[in-house]
Amino acid sequence: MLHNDDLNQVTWEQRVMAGDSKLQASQVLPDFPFARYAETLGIKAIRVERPEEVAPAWDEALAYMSGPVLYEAITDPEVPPLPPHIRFEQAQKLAKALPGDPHAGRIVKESIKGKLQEFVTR
Amino acid sequence: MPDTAQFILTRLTEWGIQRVYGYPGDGINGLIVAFHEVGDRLEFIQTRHEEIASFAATAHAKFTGEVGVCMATSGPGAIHLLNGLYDAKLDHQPVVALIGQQKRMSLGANYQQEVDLNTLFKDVASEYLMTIMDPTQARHVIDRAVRIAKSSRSVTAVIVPEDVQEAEHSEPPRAHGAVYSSLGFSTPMLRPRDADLQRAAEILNASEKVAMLIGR
Repeated sequence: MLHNDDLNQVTWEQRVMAGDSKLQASQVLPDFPFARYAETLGIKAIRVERPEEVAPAWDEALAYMSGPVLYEAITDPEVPPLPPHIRFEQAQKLAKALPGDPHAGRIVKESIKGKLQEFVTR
Repeated sequence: MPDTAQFILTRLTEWGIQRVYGYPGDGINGLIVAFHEVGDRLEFIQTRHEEIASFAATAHAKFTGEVGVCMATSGPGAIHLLNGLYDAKLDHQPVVALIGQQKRMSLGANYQQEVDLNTLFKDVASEYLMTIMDPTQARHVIDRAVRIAKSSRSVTAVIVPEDVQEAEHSEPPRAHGAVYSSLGFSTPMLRPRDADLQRAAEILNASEKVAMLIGR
């Protein structure tokens, strides 16, 4: 489970398809401890909060043979799900959405970081 | 020029509506992002599920005496509204449902999340159910949906395709076929006929231990 307290797919549709900023009232989800809840149901659960915990958590999850495992990863809702090729009008609408968006700064930072990573890993 | 979604939300505020209960989705995104434009005049209350949204709108009507409004996206979101709307219908509460639909150009293709909403809501919103197919229709459809919900104390539903939500709004032209409507509804005062009142008084006066069972 990717846990980011956001109805993220639709939030990004608001930004990229509608060219509007995220509406906090409709998009933000109340925080909920999914891994802890799974444990109360008797399901094995792992909560991952830091990058260095990702790989060991997979090892632990895949090695568990007695039933299902809930892998709860705390993720950043401001990382854009950028496709490899961005159409001009998509970029234009995102640019239009950013000024009013409560998370504009982080989005710009994460977008540049994501695109740079694409270049260096190519 | 505001888009049709902004016009719809503004019109709701002009009817005195201050709150909308709903859950977002891309089929209703035009109306969701229009909340930016109406600001504090209209509050979006995010529920955990669309079914809660329609029950909350019904409870809002029951506790405040105002019209309750709920909102859901096309297809599955719309289907989830049904239970709460039947609560409103059977308890005679004025509730308006605003429902998203896929773009006009994709209808009839079994497109993603395409549900025949006019058929689905025909029973629960039997007093008034309409799809806004043209931005100039928005004014009289919203006016009638709110007024009929109040006057019939029942459920009305308005379906808005996503591309209509995002289309520029314009007032109807001054031309044959155009319809203009206005705001406002005043609840009429009901009074029994004198003869019926007299008959009831005679029964009460002739009785000793009175218990009244009111309803149907």
